[in-house]
Amino acid sequence: MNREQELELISRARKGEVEAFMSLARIYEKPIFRLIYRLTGNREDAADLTQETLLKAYVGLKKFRGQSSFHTWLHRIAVNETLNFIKKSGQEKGRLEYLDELKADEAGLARVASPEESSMEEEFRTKLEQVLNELPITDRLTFSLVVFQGLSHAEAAEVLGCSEGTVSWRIHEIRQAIREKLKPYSGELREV
Amino acid sequence: MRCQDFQKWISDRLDGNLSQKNQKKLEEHLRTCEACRRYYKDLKRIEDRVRKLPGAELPDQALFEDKLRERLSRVATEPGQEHRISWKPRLAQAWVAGLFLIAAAVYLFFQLRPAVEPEMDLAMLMSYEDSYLTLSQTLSSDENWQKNYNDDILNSIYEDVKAGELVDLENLDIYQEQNNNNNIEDSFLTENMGFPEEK
Repeated sequence: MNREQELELISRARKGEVEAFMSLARIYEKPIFRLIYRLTGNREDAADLTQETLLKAYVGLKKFRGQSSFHTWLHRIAVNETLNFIKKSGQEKGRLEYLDELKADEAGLARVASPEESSMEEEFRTKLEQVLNELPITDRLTFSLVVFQGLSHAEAAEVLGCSEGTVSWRIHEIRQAIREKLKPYSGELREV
Repeated sequence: MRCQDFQKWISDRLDGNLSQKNQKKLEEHLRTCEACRRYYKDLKRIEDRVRKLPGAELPDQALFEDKLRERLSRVATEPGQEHRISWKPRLAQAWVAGLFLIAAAVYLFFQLRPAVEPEMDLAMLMSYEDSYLTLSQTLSSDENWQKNYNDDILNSIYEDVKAGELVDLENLDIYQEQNNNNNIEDSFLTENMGFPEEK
């Protein structure tokens, strides 16, 4: 969908056409869900927060001026919803559910890789997930927006309400920290 | 430039956030700096693994969309929807409600206040007199009516007149003359209301 088509759907949704908004929701519900899931670590919470995000976007559509992209605007709502949820719930959710799924996925990989490679890959991926999980929430958010969601530094800055330069430096520092934590596994890093 | 600055550029490059000009400078540096070359390779490998991490799938997408559609429809048909977005229509509503309450208060004040007896003026008296003359003529036309109801009706008229205050009783002569001409028990009025008797 190009920008003109998207603006057309936004315009119709603004007039109260639910199906026009549903077309937009179908495009963005999955990436928004994945972002929220990365931050909360719980499927049900992530699904509920995705619903709230889309509902708030629909209600607040008249406030959307088109200065930023709809994609960025929606991410901003999702981030606000999620951070408020995490703040209210009093703690960051554990990542156990996600790690369990990760292990379940290894069965598929084992069919194409040798047992030794599979074991190294599994160990490295589990460690990588653990390192990402241990990042402070703001770093995890910044990293997720840029690396997983594919937002540019400028777009991430808009979502986070900071400058593009700040995002660039934060991402650089986060990558340095991840590399440091994965140094003990550098063998796997080079060989896998 | 220090290696630290080039390593920042490496991060920018991974995100496609480095200008062509700086990319060339970075490549030149990487040719001569082994530490930065190693750093770049490590980051590239981590990045490849990170991007391959499985993304979570939305559980029961159809159910999710049905629920969302239902909630959106409910919001779209909610009459107060606009009001939640802007405070201005709410203010207008408050104004209307306020004016209504003021109007209701004024109405109730005038409705519930103790009734004040109207002062009887000449116009009212003439009105009573018209009624009296009409009744007199009607009663005079039938002997039985005259016999049975004359006194009661006259008494009733008398009570009505008595209830008012006769403050502006002018042209009394004309009034008495009319009564005489109608050949009714005019002495009734003069006696009971204190009108002077005709001489």
